[in-house]
Amino acid sequence: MNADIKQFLGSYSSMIDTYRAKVKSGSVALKECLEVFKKMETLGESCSDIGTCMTKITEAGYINEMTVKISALATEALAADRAGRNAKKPEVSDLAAGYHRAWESMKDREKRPETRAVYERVFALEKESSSAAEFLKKMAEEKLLLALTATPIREEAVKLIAPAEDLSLPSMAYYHETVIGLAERASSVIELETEAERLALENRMEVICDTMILNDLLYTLGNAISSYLLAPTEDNKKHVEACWCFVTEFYSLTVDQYFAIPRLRDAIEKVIVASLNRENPAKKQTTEGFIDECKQIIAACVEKPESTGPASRASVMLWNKSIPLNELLVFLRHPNRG
Amino acid sequence: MTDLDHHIAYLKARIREFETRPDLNRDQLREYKKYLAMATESPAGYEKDAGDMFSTMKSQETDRYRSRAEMYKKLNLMEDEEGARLLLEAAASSTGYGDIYVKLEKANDAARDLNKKRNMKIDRLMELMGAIIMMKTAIPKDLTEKKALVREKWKTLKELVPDISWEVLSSSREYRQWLYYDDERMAVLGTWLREAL
Repeated sequence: MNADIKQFLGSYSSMIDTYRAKVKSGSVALKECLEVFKKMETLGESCSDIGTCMTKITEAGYINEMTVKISALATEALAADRAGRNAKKPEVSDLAAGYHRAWESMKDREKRPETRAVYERVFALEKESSSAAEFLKKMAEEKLLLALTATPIREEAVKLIAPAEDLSLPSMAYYHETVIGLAERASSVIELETEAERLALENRMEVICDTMILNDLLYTLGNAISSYLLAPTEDNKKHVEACWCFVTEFYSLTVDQYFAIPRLRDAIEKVIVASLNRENPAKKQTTEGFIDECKQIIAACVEKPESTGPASRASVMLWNKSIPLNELLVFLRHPNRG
Repeated sequence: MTDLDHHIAYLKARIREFETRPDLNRDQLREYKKYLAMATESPAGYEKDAGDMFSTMKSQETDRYRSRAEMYKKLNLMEDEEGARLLLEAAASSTGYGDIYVKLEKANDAARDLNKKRNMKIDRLMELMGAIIMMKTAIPKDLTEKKALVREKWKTLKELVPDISWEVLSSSREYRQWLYYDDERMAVLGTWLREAL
C-alpha cells in the first residue's frame, strides 16, 4: 500500500483503538466502525496515490460514514468512562469549552455586538461558577441556552431588511421582520426552531407566488419590449402584441391601470431601472421615463383595441384570499395569512 | 449551595422554560419533572439513579421532530411531514448516546431525500406554469416549439408524480398554495394545457 494512504488510514485506526480499549468487546458501534474501516482499507489498497484514494473514499461516502460511526463510538466510550469507577465529574471548563469554540469559529465577530454580549456573559459565568452544576444552573436561570441561538438570528435578520427592500423583495423584508419578532418572543429552543422553519416555509410560498406574478405580468412583456427595442422587426412587434393581449385577457387591465400597479412600479424602479442605470449610468433612466417608453412601444405594436374584462381579474390569490393587484405590494409586505 | 441544590435549580429553570409552550415541549417536561422528583425525594441516591440522563436528551429530539411533523402537516407538506416522522421514530427507538446519533443520521438521509423530492415537485410545477404562459404569449411561428416545451414540462412533472392530473392539481391545497391563480384562471390554464397535450 502507498505510504501516504497507509498513514491516512493509520490515523483512523489509532482513533478506533483509543476507543476500543474503553468499550465492551461486543460493542455494536465498534463493530460498525471496523466495517467502514475495512471498506476504506480495501479501497486504499486499490489506489496508487493519496489524491485518487481521497477522491474515491469521499465519493463512496466513507468519510461521512466513518465520522458518524466514530462519533457514536466516542460517545459510547465517554459514557463507559463516566460509568466506570474512576468517573470524573465534568469541570466548568469542560462545559464551557464548546461555547469558546463556537464563538472563536464565528465569522464577522466584530459585527455582532449583541451576540458578543451573550457569549461574554457565558464566559463571565464560567469564571463565577465553582462547579459545572452551578454553571449550568446559572445558564438556565439567565435563559442563556435560548439566547445563544436567538440573538445571532435576530442580529443577522436586522441587517437584511433594508437590502430586501432595495431589491424589491417585499416578502423577504417581511420575513426578516417576523424572524426578529420570533427571536424576541420565543421562550424555548424547540419553539424557536419550529417557528423559524414555519416562517421560512410560508415565506417561500409567498416568494414563489410573487416571482410567478412578476414573470407572468411584467418580465414576459418586458422581455418582448426589450427585444423590440433592440430589433423592431415584425416578429418582435407581434410578440409585444401577444404579450399585451395576454395581460388584457388574463388580468383585464388597461395600459394606464397596468403601469399604476404599485408592485410592478416597485420592481420596475428597483430591478429594471436600477439595472439599466448600472449598465449605462450616463443615461440616468427614471422610472417615469422607462414607463413612458414602454407605453409608446405598446401603442406602436398593439393594433387591436384593449378589451377589458371584469375588474375581478385584476387580482391574485394568496393564502386563499383574493388580493387586488393594486394592493399586492402592501399585502406582501405585511401579509394576512390567517 | 451544594451541587445537588444547583442541579435542582437547573431542572426547575428548564421546567419553567418548557412550560411556556407545553405543546412543543411535552416529552422534555415529563422527563425533567421525573428527575426533579427523584432529586428532591431521594437526594442520597440521586446521582446513581439519574445516571447519564440520556432520556432528557432523547426527549429534546422527540419534541423537536414531533413539533416539526405537526407543523409540516398544517402546511400540507406531506413529504416533509413523513421525513420528520422518520426522525421522530429514530429518536424514540434509540436506547442511549451510542445509537441515537447513528439512527438520527440514517433517518436524516431519508428525510433529506423526501424534502428534495418535494422541492423538485414544486420546481417542476413552476416550470410547467411558465411554459404554458410562454406558449400563450408566443407568436404563431414559435407555437409548435412552445407547445412541445409544455408537453415536456408536463411529462417531467408526471415522471415525478405519476398520478398527477390537472384536476388533482387544481383541487389540492398541496399544489394550490404554491400558485397565485384563482379558480377561473386555473380553468383557463387547464384549457391551454390541453391545447398543448
